[in-house]
Amino acid sequence: MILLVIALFAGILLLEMPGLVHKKYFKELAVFLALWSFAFLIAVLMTFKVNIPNPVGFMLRCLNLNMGLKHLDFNMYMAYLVK
Amino acid sequence: MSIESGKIPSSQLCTLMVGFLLGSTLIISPGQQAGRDIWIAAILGFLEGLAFALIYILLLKKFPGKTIIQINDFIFGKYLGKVVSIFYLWFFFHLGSMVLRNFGDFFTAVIYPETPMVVLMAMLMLVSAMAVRNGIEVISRTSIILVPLTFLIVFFTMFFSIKDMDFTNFLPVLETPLRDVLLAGHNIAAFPFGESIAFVMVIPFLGNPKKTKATVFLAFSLALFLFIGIVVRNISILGDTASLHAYPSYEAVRLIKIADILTRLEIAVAANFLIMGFLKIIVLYYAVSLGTAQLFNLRTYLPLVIPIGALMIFLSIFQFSSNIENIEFATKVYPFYSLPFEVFLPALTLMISFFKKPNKKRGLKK
Repeated sequence: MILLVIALFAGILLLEMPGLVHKKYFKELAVFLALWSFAFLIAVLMTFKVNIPNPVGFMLRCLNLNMGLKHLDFNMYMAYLVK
Repeated sequence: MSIESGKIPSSQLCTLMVGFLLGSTLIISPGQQAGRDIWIAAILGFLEGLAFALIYILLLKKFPGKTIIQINDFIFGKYLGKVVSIFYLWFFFHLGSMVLRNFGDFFTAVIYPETPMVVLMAMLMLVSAMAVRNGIEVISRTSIILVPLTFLIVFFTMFFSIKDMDFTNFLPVLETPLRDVLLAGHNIAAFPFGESIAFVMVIPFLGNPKKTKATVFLAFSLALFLFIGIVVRNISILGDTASLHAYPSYEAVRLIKIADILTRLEIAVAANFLIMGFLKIIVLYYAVSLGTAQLFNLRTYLPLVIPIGALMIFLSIFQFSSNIENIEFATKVYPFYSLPFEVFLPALTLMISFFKKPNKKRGLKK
């Protein structure tokens, strides 16, 4: 599986990078590489089943903590459903 | 220099917007709290959604040809503007990932139970990436073919299910507490009407900006018409049980059976969702790709398309652990979560724009 992920991301790199280098679009290349690296890192972590922090859960916790919006408590709804 | 050189006619903007508004609404029916009074909630939601859209239209009218990312730079300044733009980009990105997840959940639950969700999502994103890389003209031209097809499918399914409809299911009217109807109305305003905020990245490319208001109103009206048609069909067939189903449209159409010949028409609902979900995803995907390129002042957004698509797939996979979580988030949390992006930030930007003088040096003039 990890080989497939590496091959896929290498393919993306080969598809985009030569054109950007040829046109001397270095700023575009930098942003592309930053996004590509981030995506590749997450893909590898997911392949190895590493528990990645969920941004949505974090966001909901922030809403509850900072705004006191208890009715937005996602876990509360989940607990209600499980009951 | 503009990153996107394409121009779209108002008719294509209209169809694209209808497709966008009906995206996942065809499957996950928002405003279920209103029960059999959902049609009243839909009208209320439409009116509230129009008020939201008016903010976006006024904002874009003040800055013709500029997207929200460029407007933010002018209104909030170079640094704060970037921060505000990141909020918008997060919202478009997150919304896109939620629609993608709806797509994955629906297809793995009812059609391809043995296929890994990531495969279905990756296939859709591959096609979406192709559409986004081809630019706004291709995206809008796609809609003019796909949206009428969806209208036809909805009308046919309604026509074939007439014999199963029982309109007494709507009685008594307004038995649901008014608070629930109003809350459902707000839910419908936030999802789908308020999501038209993504069009602040598309409307600047409208060939004739004078038609913006009329086009948006027509698109909203058509979406409301179709949405009411769908909920009327679902409630008249399923009755009070409509709100118990995860996918009421699918369940309602599944009951169509005409002389043992026309059966299993629910695939038409799946086709509808595939079409409209695709349109919604490409608009959001395009908004994120173009917006990110504008955020960093890049000359092209094309190299960002595939990495952004990959990230969208990853977020859609790990943000919810099940389909139920996704639907609960969409119907209960999302209407409040989306408010800052759909109303507060655009309204604040509009208010500041009334006081801020245009800066001709930076090319932003009234």
